[in-house]
Amino acid sequence: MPLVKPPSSILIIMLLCIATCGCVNDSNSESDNLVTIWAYDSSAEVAEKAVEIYKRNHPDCPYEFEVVSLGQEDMVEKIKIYLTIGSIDTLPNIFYDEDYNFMEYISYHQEYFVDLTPHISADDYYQYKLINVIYDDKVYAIPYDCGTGTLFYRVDLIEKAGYSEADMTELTWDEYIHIGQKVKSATGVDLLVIIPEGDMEGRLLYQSAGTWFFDEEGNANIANNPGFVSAITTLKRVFDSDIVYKASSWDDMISCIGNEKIVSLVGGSWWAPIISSFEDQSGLWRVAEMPKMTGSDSYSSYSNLGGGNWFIINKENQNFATEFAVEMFGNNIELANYAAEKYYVIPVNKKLVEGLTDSGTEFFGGQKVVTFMSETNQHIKPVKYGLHTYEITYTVGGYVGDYVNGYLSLDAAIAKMQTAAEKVVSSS
Amino acid sequence: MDKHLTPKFIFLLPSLILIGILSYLPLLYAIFLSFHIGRGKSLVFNYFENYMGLLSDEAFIIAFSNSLIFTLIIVPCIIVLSLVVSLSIHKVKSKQLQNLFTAILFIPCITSPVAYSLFVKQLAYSDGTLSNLLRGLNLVSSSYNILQEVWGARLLIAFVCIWAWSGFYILILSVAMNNINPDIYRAAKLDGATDFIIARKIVFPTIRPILALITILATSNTFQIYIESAIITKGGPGMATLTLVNQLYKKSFTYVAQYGYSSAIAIVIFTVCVLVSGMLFIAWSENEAENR
Repeated sequence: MPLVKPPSSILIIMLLCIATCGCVNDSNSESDNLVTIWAYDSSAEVAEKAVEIYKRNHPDCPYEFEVVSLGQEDMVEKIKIYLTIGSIDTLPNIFYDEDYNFMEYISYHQEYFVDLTPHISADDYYQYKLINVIYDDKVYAIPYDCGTGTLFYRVDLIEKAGYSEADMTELTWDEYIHIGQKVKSATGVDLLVIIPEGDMEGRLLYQSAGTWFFDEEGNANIANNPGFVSAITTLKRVFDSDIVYKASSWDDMISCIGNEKIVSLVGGSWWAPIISSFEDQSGLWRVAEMPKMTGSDSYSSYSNLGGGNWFIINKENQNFATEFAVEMFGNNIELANYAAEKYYVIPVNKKLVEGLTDSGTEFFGGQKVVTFMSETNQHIKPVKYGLHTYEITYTVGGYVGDYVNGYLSLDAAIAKMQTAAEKVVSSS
Repeated sequence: MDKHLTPKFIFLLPSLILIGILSYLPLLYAIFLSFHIGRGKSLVFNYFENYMGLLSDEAFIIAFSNSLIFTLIIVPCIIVLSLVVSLSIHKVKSKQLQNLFTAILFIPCITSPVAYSLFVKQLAYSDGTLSNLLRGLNLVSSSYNILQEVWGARLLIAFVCIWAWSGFYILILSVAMNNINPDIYRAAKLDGATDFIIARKIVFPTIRPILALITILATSNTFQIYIESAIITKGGPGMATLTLVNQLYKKSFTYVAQYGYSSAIAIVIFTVCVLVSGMLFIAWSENEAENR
């Protein structure tokens, strides 16, 4: 006699099969005229506004839009996976991402992206953005915004040490450190906040010297790179002057602004909305150019950190998606003004910059911040970011942190960074 | 031929299929990928180059040693702590109180690791509760930031892991101890045995196989620690708390994707866990054979 009556065992197996099958989703049956847009943070809000303006200007538009706001890491992960497995259906029509990811998307998955060369007029854009959206002599993304290197500072705190707004323009790092020491002894507040691995400030400094971790051909460019060496020795000088609030993470940096632990901050322009969110400090902040390194004429007060582009995927509705994106993100002044005013999104399209209206920002004491940042945009040195920015930043950043904290000598740190950079380049 | 084999096999089949599809197939594919370079449809066989590349990759070596450090710190602490706590719970007379304690200690295990990691991260900010407490007790200077110190970060993560995972092992040990016949205790007490001797001569030998099991489980799990280190320190000051699984994730999703390389890392993790589990298993069984 069998252990189990056949009907029961078959029933159990059938139940299990039904349970598993029931979990399988229907494949996405998109309606034919749906355009999906993926973005993160303020770019998602800007995309929503773009949809609204477009629909207002084109009331007969037959297409439906869907703006999906994801976290940045989530979105990048999904896009990379879908591109790798080639599942076009699950990719969005348009998405926003940073310059640093451009090379990976395009050099590995060129066929999935729409060639935008006929729609983009190269002269309209700043060189430093343009070289990071060109591959194979074609333009593959719409340059959208930037993270112009800016010095944000508390004018009330520097005044306590006898300084004024005029003293804070066109500083060198040494002058900036000197001001920091005087302000700290007068107020007890640290000059600025840095995450010691130096990855944000480091990248700002490297680009301000017109250099990067890699050279034009993509070889590691650290050991014989005076700009790079100057950048990390500057960071060390800043740390050794005992005027830095060491943050451990992003949230730590934000909370120390709110808790008034710092006098100033050197960062990309996208810090402006974050600082502005602390409304009780309204009127106390100002902006100025980044401090400049000394030692060479090629070192400047201008740099870029972050900022991104809009990519269009080569799938159904691409013609309309291209038209929409170029019209809204590339040419629409109303959208540019909305984004600049609400989110401090600084456009990198010269025509849009000319069309910006700026009546001064109350949080920054009436200073015309958007105009200021749009102007510093023009002097940023073009640097080609290449493939491995995130990896090299993380690897090299660790050594910069060790050097700045005194665990490594300069030569040892440079040697380790060069080896690490070469390893990263060779492993692709 | 066992005439009951067919129905037994039919019963096992659904689980086998599920485990096969969800665990073994990906494992085989990972092994396959680890010998290739490239992505998607353009995979190129490149022999052992991925593995050789791992050996000369400082990030991998650092990640490996960090995972090892965490395992060496966390596993003994978890085992000892679980033993001590479950022995103490075992001594409690009331069954309901025993269950209550075990349940309370088990709650961290079913809490989302992301949730408690974020919470601990907030506590450890420069102006967070933990830092203020340390400063208030004058244990550290005013500019101390625990997440910026190599060993501060590591010990913090180790502490969080021990707190979170011990409950599971306490539960297992409690169940094992409850299976001991209470008459033995009475007999031992009549012979004048102290609690310590009871623990050593009666409890330990009985729960030895379970102890072996939890050592193996704890080692495997701790070697693959990821969520706590990724969220609390994101890899730590420099790369001080970068773990192997963290490096694997970065190489697949954060950096320019190198699926072959990260599959090689995955296979290394797998091999180490299998070897260590095997060694522990043999070690515990040998001890058992000796004691007979």
